[in-house]
Amino acid sequence: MRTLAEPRREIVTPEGVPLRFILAGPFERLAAFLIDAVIIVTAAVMIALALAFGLAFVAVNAFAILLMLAWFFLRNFYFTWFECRWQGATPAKRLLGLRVIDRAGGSLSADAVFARNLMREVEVFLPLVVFLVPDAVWPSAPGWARPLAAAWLGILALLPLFNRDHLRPGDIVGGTLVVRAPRVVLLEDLTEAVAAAPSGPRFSFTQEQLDLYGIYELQVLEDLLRRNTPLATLSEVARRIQKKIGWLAAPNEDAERFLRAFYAAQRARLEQRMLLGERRERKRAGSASTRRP
Amino acid sequence: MKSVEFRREREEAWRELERLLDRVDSSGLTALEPEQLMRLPVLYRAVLSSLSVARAISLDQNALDYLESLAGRAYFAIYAAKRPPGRTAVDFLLRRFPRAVRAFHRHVVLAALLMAIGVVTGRGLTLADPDHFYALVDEEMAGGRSPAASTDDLREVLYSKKDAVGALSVFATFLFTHNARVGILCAALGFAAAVPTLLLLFYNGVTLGAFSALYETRGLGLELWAWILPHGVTELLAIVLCAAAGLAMGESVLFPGRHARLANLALQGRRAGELVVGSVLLFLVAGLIEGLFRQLVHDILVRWALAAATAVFWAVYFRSAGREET
Repeated sequence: MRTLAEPRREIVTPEGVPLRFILAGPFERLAAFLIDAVIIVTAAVMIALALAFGLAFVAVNAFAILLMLAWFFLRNFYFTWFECRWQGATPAKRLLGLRVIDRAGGSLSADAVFARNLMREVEVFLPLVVFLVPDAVWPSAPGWARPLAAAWLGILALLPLFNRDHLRPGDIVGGTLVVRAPRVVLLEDLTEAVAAAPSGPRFSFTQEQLDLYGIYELQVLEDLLRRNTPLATLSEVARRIQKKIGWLAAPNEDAERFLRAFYAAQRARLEQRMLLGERRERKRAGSASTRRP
Repeated sequence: MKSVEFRREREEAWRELERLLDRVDSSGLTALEPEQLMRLPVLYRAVLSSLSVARAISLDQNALDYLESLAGRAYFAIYAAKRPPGRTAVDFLLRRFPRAVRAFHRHVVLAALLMAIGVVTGRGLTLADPDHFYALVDEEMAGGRSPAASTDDLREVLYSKKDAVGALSVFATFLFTHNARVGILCAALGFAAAVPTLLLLFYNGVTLGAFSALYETRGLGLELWAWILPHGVTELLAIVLCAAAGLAMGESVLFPGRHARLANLALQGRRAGELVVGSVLLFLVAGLIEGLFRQLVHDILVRWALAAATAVFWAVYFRSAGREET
């Protein structure tokens, strides 16, 4: 998967190497929260049932005590416990491939995790209560105070939508960041196949032909070749490239083979220039033929 | 091509780290053999260096993404590692919590002062006109204790014998979870520039003051405090600590000081979080005292003695615990 367009944040590890993480979006985080909420409620119900069968007829008091404690700890420490034990992921975060990390790049400490989850009380619970049963929070509130309080809490709850890093108040207080941690599979290097190609016409490109495109185009091409792109698209891309670099296609030339060969040659050229300290990000305007003297 | 040779040389180590991390992801760090555990940081550093080199010489996007994600996963595994929970808890109780309280002593004093002002205000208002009591105390909370109630009824509350010991501990649990939640809320609201925290704290004091005045007018003042303080010392302290955490957070929102606002909030927020965790423990202690001890012991001297004992205990604890190394 290409990830160029997604916002990334750089974390400098204690070893001094910057790591770039893709920022988790507010909606996937909301989804993760909802799944976790469902897990919490389900767990509470299961505990209640288990206790009911085990205890209710014997000791009603013990039942009530254990249930209250279970609910309290589930509600306040579920997130903290998992994020401490599972390297910054709750079950739902893990399911969706999200992680909590330290914003400054250090290790994720228990107090940071606790602080970030402490704020859930004002981010989620309080707004919910305010909207559902306003009287429970502030019974004697004057009329004007209620919309004001609701607005205030609304701002807190919607904060992740309004800042660059999608920080919720808990992240701000805990100094944390939620990122996406996708698992990338290492695929074969595309140039290996070209080198190993058994026979057929060899493609050779002049340096000038290889000086037209930049890194961005190279990686778009890589992406095309790695996916199962339909032949028609490949032919069209090949045609455009050939036009730009002034390539005279041999009759019956295979578009995909051309593209692979061009990719290999182009990458070799760009990497060579990169070694010399020159990163070319984008293509040049015009084409090889028009620039010929 | 350089990048291709580079990948050939290093790929073995990448794959090895990937296998280790798959194992960690599925069954935790403890699933690794000792020698694998030793390999983990070595491989992590190797992959970090591969990543740095690859960024400089390779344009293979897939390989770069792969290294980035591999290094990220290894980073999670290594830097999220934590110490055994038992030792963390002991360390927290003996060092971090009392230190956090000392670090925030200005906020703690301010919070206590504010609550005291609330008490004085509530008491003054109610003494001036008993009808103020109705405006100051929520009816539900008063639970029938109001200027309209007879002195005997008011006394009854202080010495009520709830029947079974069992019901008492349910009550204790309820008090603990309820109070701890309010405390957490009080701290978390500090984020909103501390205003709600201040209001909550002040109002808490006012309620207390109003009750105090009500009982005083019936000549039950001392007995009321003997009823409140055995657990109240701990509970009020916990409230004050939570509020102090809220104030500290509010302060860093409003006056970030030398650091950037975000950095400062993160710094203060974590330490404030420690205050709150500790307070939850205090609420637990208070709930136990309130639910068990208070309903069982009716001797006023014993009640006062317990109040004094808890006060001395907390004072000594917060003054001296965890000091020897600093």
